[in-house]
Amino acid sequence: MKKIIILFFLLALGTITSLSAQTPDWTKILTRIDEMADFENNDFSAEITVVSQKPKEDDSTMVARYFRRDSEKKFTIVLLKPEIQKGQGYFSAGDDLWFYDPESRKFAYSSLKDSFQDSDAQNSDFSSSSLEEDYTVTTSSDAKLGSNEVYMATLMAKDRTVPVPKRIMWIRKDNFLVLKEEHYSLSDRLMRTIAYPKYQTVNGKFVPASMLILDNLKPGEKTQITFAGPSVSKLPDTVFNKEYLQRVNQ
Amino acid sequence: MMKPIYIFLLLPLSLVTAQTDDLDELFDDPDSGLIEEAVVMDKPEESIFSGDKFIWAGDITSTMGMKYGFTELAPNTDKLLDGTERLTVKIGAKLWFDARPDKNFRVFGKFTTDYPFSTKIKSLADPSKPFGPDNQVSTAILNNIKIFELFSDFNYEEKIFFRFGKQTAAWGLSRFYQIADPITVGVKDPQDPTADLEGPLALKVALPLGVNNLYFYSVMKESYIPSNPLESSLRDLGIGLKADFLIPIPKNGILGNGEFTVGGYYQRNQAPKAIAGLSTSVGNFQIFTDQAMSWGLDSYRLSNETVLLDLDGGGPSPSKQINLTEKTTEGIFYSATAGTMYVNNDWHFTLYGEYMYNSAGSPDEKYLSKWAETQAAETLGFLTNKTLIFSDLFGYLSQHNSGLSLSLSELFGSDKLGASTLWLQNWVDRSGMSTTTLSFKPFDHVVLEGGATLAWGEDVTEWVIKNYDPVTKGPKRLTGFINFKLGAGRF
Repeated sequence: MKKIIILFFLLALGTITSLSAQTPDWTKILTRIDEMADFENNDFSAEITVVSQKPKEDDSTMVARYFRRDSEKKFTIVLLKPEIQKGQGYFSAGDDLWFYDPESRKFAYSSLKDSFQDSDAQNSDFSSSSLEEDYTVTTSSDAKLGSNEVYMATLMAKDRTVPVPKRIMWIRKDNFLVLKEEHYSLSDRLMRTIAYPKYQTVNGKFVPASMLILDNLKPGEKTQITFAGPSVSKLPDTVFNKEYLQRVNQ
Repeated sequence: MMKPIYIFLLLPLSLVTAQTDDLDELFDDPDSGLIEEAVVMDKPEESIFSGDKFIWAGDITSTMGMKYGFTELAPNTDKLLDGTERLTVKIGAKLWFDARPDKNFRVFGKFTTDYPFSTKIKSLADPSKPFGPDNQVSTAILNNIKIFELFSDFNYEEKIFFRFGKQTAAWGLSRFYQIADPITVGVKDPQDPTADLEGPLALKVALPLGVNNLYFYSVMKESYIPSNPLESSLRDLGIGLKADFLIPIPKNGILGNGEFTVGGYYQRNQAPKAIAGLSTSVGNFQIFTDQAMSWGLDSYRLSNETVLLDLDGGGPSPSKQINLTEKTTEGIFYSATAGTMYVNNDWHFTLYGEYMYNSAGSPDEKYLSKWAETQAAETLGFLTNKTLIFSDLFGYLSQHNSGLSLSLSELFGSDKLGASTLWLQNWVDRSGMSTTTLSFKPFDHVVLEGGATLAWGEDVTEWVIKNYDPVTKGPKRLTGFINFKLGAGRF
């Protein structure tokens, strides 16, 4: 579930531009999306709620407070629910990630590119991605998604270090909001489908109001993410260090 | 919705687009793509502190089960009914409070108790005098309740952070061993490497410097403070310094960044210690090492000097060669661990492997039996000094040790099933143990476990002794177990 918490930031937090579209110039569009997704001059914070549904199991809910500073490539996550994980937290700077366990009061450091601890979290999920830098649009076409006129674009990763080798994105023509994404593995296997049905604006920045993730490898497994109280106000530096996790845990 | 790849590749893109799943239905809603103004939160970083000013919380663990064990690793089939059965009951609880009058001040306390919740202690009213009408045996009941942590947090302008009180410390990176943690009071058990370890009374000062951190500790360990308050001094406080540094590595496909730790600890009349550690990644493996050096040793060990003792007390002549003990106060003693962690989320698989070298440990495969003989001679009064204590057995007596654990948090596609195995090995006396466990969680707060523990080696070797039957005090080399974890959880 932790993976999903992260997922939304990296894939979703911006998918956005206010350009009006004529002929798709994908280099320009991807650059613009990256710029709009980047909180370079602002910090970002929100409380996210993740509800996971698995067949024949009760829904599980996780709530976390997320803080992000793109200018220093840092983020901090503090888990608030479920009770058994309350106080656990992550602090990341660049490629480096620390997990804090309030039970042992110990930090576990990881620079792994793949997975971290005994969780669903992958370090790559925590890192920012740059669509323009990482991907080439190989095909695009006009399409319709529900009542929305969209471009459907296939993005191929430029090298193997990019966490998602291939994406298909459904992008609104009028404002370039990404409404839906599909993620594929190197073997072209559909891994995840993500929908962003609603957005909200925070001081001119676009943030999804909710999103739904389908795990295509596990039929019937879905995750819904909503987030409240977004902020792009400047956060104090003290939020972005390991000590903050020790202070806030319970 | 997964499609076979070859079909997928054959489909025109427009047909791929036409695939429907229930996510597409979200966009049939006329409100889809709606953009609304967010309700913005001011000072979100303080929202975490603005909840309950005071909370009580805790967790409870409760296990009931049985063990069925044999002295032999491979008992004869006709002796399968001759094993020893034991009822196992474990109930423990932690209760803690967390008070935050304001965001810069916090008081935290944690209390623990375990079954049996009290212990009867019998002793003479005056142990220094013989038993008699004026000096009877009295019984005292000690409640098994412990203050595990009790500290307060405060800071100087959110730049320097202080924690004062009884607190856990948790230095070191190792999974199974504890060579680089001179502050913690509790001793890490490789069979339960994630257990909370008790810390000392200490003042901790933390100075974050970006992603790097400096720590200062002033530590009061009760065992190092003279029992007579008139003899205690400020000089009995231990001093610890530690720094964690991030080591950036140029981007490459194999080696990741690393975190380097260096520190030291000084306590009057104890061996000064220096520690270092490094954690980094190589490919998909996290690699970690602890390095420790001490000038002298804190505890006694067997020396090469021996004495002949009449241990059976009957014969006129000495009957046994017994090693004497020594506490080395000079010379460098080096110990190190090297370990790895691998996690595969797709397989729900986690691996930890670690090797430990301990230069203060013994290369003698008979060391433990000699240690037991000397300890018995001291206890029985054949030797005047009592230098070896039973708890030393739970330290690291061998020069070469290793640990390996494998776990699967899901089996056969179900997260209700899990499996794990743990292998610990002493490479000097060639004893070892392994425990394999299968678990089934039918519903929340109920877990059924079954498995087997194997121990191999001579009778008086590390892992055979550590798997003794607690009642008969005899070795149990093959033990099957079933446990019911009932009603465990956090509240």
